[in-house]
Amino acid sequence: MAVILYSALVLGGLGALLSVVLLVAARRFAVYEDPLINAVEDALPGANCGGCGFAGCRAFAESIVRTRDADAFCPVGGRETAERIAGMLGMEVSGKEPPVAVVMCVGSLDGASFVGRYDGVMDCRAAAIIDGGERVCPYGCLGLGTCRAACQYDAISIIEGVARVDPEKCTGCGSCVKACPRGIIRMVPRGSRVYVACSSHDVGKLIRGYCRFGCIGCRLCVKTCEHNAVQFSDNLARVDPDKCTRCGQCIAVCKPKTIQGADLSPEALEASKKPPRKRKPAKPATREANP
Amino acid sequence: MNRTFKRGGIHPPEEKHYTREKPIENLPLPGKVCIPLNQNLGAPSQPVVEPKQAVKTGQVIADPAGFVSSPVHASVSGVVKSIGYRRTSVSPCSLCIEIESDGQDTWVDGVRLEADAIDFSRPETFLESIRAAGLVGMGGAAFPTHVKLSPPEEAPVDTLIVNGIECEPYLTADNRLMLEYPGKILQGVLAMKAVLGVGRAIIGIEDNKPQAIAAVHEAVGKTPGVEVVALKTCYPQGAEKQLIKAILDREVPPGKLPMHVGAVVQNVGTAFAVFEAVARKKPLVERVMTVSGPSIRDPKNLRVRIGTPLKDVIEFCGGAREDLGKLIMGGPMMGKALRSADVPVLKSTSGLIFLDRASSLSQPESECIRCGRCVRACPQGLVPGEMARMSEAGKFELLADALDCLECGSCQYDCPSNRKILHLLRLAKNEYRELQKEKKSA
Amino acid sequence: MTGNSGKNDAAAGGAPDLVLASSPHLASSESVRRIMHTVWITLLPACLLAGYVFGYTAFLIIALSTAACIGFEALFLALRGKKWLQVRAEALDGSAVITGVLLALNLPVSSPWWLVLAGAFVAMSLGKHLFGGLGNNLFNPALVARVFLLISFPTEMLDYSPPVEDFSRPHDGARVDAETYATPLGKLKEAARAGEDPVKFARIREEIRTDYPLLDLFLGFRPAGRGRMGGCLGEISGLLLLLGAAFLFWRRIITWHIPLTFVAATALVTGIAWAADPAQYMNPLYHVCSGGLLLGALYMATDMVTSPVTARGMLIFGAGCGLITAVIRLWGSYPEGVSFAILIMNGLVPLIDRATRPREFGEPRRTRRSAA
Repeated sequence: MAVILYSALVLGGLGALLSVVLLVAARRFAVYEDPLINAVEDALPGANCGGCGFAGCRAFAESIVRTRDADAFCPVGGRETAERIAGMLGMEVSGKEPPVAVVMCVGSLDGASFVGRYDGVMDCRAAAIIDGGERVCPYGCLGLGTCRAACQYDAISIIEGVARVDPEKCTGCGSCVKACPRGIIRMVPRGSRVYVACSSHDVGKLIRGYCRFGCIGCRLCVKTCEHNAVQFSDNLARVDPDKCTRCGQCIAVCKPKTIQGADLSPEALEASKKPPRKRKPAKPATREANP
Repeated sequence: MNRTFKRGGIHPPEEKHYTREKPIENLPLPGKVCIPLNQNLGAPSQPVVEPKQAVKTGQVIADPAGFVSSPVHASVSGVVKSIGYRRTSVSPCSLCIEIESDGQDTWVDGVRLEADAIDFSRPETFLESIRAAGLVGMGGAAFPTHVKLSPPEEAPVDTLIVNGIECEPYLTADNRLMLEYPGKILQGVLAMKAVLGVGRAIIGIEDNKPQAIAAVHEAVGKTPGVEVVALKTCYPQGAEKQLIKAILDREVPPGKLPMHVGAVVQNVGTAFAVFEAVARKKPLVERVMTVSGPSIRDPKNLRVRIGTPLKDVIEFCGGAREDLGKLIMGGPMMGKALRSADVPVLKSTSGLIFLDRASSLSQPESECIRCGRCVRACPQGLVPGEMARMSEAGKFELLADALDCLECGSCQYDCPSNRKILHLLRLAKNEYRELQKEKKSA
Repeated sequence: MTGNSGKNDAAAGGAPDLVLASSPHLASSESVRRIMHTVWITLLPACLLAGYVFGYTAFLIIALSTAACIGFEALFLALRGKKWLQVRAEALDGSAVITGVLLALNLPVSSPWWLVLAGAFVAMSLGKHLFGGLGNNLFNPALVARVFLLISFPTEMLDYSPPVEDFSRPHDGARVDAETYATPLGKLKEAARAGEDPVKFARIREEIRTDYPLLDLFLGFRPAGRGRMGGCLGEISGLLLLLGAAFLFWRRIITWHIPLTFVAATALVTGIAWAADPAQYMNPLYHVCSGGLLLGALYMATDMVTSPVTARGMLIFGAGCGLITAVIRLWGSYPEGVSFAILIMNGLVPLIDRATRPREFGEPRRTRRSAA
């Protein structure tokens, strides 16, 4: 009996003593942290995936609270999470959609030239060091899947030798952009995906030799666009997403079908199928491009 | 027992029997040449001619852009056909000057092709002759020679080492040069010695070339300050750092250059080109290369004009056999596998190797079995297998050591698992440099 | 990515499909397959002797062990998601065969079939595939299995039945009295335990001397009627093991670093003990020739996957193995220490590799650069 009593007293007393010590330490050595950080962290999905660009949800939460950035976007949590967090900060989400990645190359096996037999490390960066695998085009997609491996959301697949991003799965985190050694993956606004799917700066004559989808530099798109949204420089056309109205006219005139478009309005889709409006023939270019 | 660099190294089969006994032949003048302007290490040169302009052999067609750059000269006389971007073995997009030959091979004024000796009375003019001739390292690295021969004051140099090693299998061009022009090579060596102002020049030759050793030895004779040293045949004996270790027993620290241990290394081909530049005022418009391998019908040692299409070279050598598997520009250990013969000969093209299909494809790869052969083979004292595994796992930020890799390929040669160690190390080097760049700009 | 539609015939001389790869473009003909198969073939002499000494049951054990190892290897490769062709290629690359043979050589001839299977299973799972398969295991798989069996089934493992008179008859599996048919090491341990009683101690020592002459221990051949030594299948002949290993040295598959330091360290420690007290301890040569020391030093410790990569590291590794073996033999409870010693040192190999990184070319001798 006495044993039980003594044991209880001793252990109980020890417990009590340690509790007091911990309490004092917790008060004495407490670090002040904005309680908002905890609240924001709780609102985040907690996957610690790094898609936001930070080292985990806690780090992201700290950054949001510190910078008061309501537009900071968590790819996993999505818009819902962004709105909740913005509410906690007493702000509003600006309504910007996260961007989506697109691969600026459509040189698939049935239309682009490939030579030789690649026998190196199966990684696009490794192929790029030895002048790029089997594709003849020195700018195009190497097709070995480094972007696919970098994507944590399974959004990229290699089809017919070219990488393609599935916009449904893409969260706009940007890992693939960093992974591509040729830099041909770009972010475009989610609702406005009209882009020139070619990255070659070679002249049209050369491109025609190795890819039937490449931008040949005819500049019809530049001339057709009524919104000044298509620029042409260094032998390559580019669509400016800020000016693009998704009318689809450039897609209609592009003979090699280099310009890809999605998110076109139904009217635009229809219009893009019709032949383009008649225009005055342009003057021939005065500056001779590289022969 | 001949000297060697002691640690690491491998012994691939020499395969020099194809062309060892064949004297240097001149390739007939090509119909047109395509001369890239970014052949040397350093900034690409700037064109100073225009399409439709007539040029003579040896005329300057591009000026250097900065100190570490070289002028480029027309290698045939004729008319400039075009200036544009072409695919070369240096990059898929090199600015090149195409010249259509008129078949006359008219040289510019001032070149004395028959001159036989260097006038050593005015050594202070040598450096400018070397620079103006557009000389770059002929061993394959293509570093502008006049820069190498002008070490800064903080790095005093006491020895000139002449690299007659030619340790790569198949290559015999340097061997033939030493056999056929030992006297002129010696003059080139003496000219470089004068430019550097050093008291000692040592010509290193691998001991698998006894005739070349004898020929150079005889030419050197009693010339003061010049020695000939025979070195053990072991790859990569001809690598700069390893050669300095073997001859002078000095080790170049990681990240530093040979001049930091008091030495300058130049290839024998460069020495010959120096002779031509100084004695004959002849710019660098041609070079000797070895065309060899089991899949070329007629292996040869050829003197070729810079910019000659490889197709001309191949045709002259009887054409490639049907079983051609790999076409390599350079030597088989460090050279570049080409995707087509539509590229021109460069100042740095030491050879063209035709491998048959059977030797071209790698064996199936398996896991690293930690056997340690790569560690034993590495002349730089790295642990290549481990670095390759880290590269595969994407841990490039930990691979600063990869920058010290010579890319000699000894590690991959012996790997029983047929892992692509060197390719992974080159990837790591590239990615590490990218990371460093990002950090600097951040 | 070898689709050919749209291929340009842009290669030299009309030949298609040039191979595009990074340098180097030459490779030696060394391969994992060749190394592995060479290793187990050099074990054949010792295997044959095991059959001669213990009867053809020994061959059955070796065959069962090897087949089981290959089978389990294939099973685990398939479980790890590999396709059948690759499973077949990897299971037959020789590494499973080596594990099978070495495992069998570590078992007594009286092993029941289920013991062999259990060993093979543990060797392949715990010893190899749990770590990631070939090249990734930290510990020697055959030793992992042996120690597992030793600890789980000590009776079966420590039962050293005697050699047979006529090797064409199977072993009758008779369990025998440990006193009469113990192994030399077992006897030594027994002697150590009898240390208090000088008479008994002296008697046992005499028995060791008469029953196990040194030459017999080394050669492994049993002149009929002389001595009755039991042991594992592979512990019999040092000579045949050395012959097999000599071939491996010649082919540069193993180097002298580990075996030499292993044996030397054991001999040194046991030699010091013997010099200090010859009455108490046995001659170091006995230690070298008996038990699994030579098998361990030549074949188990030299396994490239589980040993250090640098020469200096190998010396440390071998010395450590020898030291621990000697300590366990002299003062530990188990009569044999080789398996434990090697496994302990296996665990230290990553540390040893880090500590013995080669000096990089051009670095001053004193400083060691920070390990990546």
